[in-house]
Amino acid sequence: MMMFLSLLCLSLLAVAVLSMIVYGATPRDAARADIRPAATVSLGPSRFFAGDLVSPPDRPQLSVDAVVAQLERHVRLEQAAAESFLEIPAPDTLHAPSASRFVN
Amino acid sequence: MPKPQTDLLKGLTDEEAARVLALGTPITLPAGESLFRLGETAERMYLLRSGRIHLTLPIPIRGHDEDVLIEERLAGETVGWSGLIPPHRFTLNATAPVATDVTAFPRSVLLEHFAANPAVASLVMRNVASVIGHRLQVFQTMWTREMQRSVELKYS
Repeated sequence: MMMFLSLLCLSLLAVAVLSMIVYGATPRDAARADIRPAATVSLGPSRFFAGDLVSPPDRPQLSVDAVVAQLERHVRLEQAAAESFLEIPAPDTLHAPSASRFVN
Repeated sequence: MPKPQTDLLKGLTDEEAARVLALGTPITLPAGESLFRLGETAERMYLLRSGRIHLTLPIPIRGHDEDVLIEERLAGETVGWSGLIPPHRFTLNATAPVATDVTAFPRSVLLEHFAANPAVASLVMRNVASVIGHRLQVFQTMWTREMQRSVELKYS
């Protein structure tokens, strides 16, 4: 019985000592407030979202009539290019550059 | 009566041409009037006697369909060959930008005349084929050029 009580006392003593050690090693609130990141890591601009992309330079907004006129000029120029190719069918005439502003 | 210079009646004698022309009905279109619209059933083919016809396609621009001029037809030229060729649906809009006179040929009347005059039918259909073939070649070339530009944009 004495032996059992001795072991119990020793165990309680060990638990008490360990508790004190752990308590002593734990930082207090005031100390926690001092903890700050050593340095801020800069991630740079995000490259994964459309909103972060650089906007294209503003282009003057053409009127609908101006767009239609440009399209019709494009059709005329392309038809003329096609007619030239049909007169002399050759790769050079087929892929001759277009003067159309619509594609340049 | 000498026959008018037309792409449709090329190769016909004056008599044959006169008989074909007599099958048509003259129509006068005031400036701005539509001759036919894309998607409509094509029951007639038209020969321009004077004025002009604009062939346009609707292209959406900023959410609104705009008629874009694709081709212009002048006096002596034929429009609306879909009236003769199945599936008999117009594939463009046709409008007269100025006062224009056309002769309208109903398909049923033309086909009846062709059945009775195979030599005339052969010549007229050859002329129609020539108009269609030329347009096909032009648009095939234009399409190839657009494809080439797409290739340059995508793979260069």
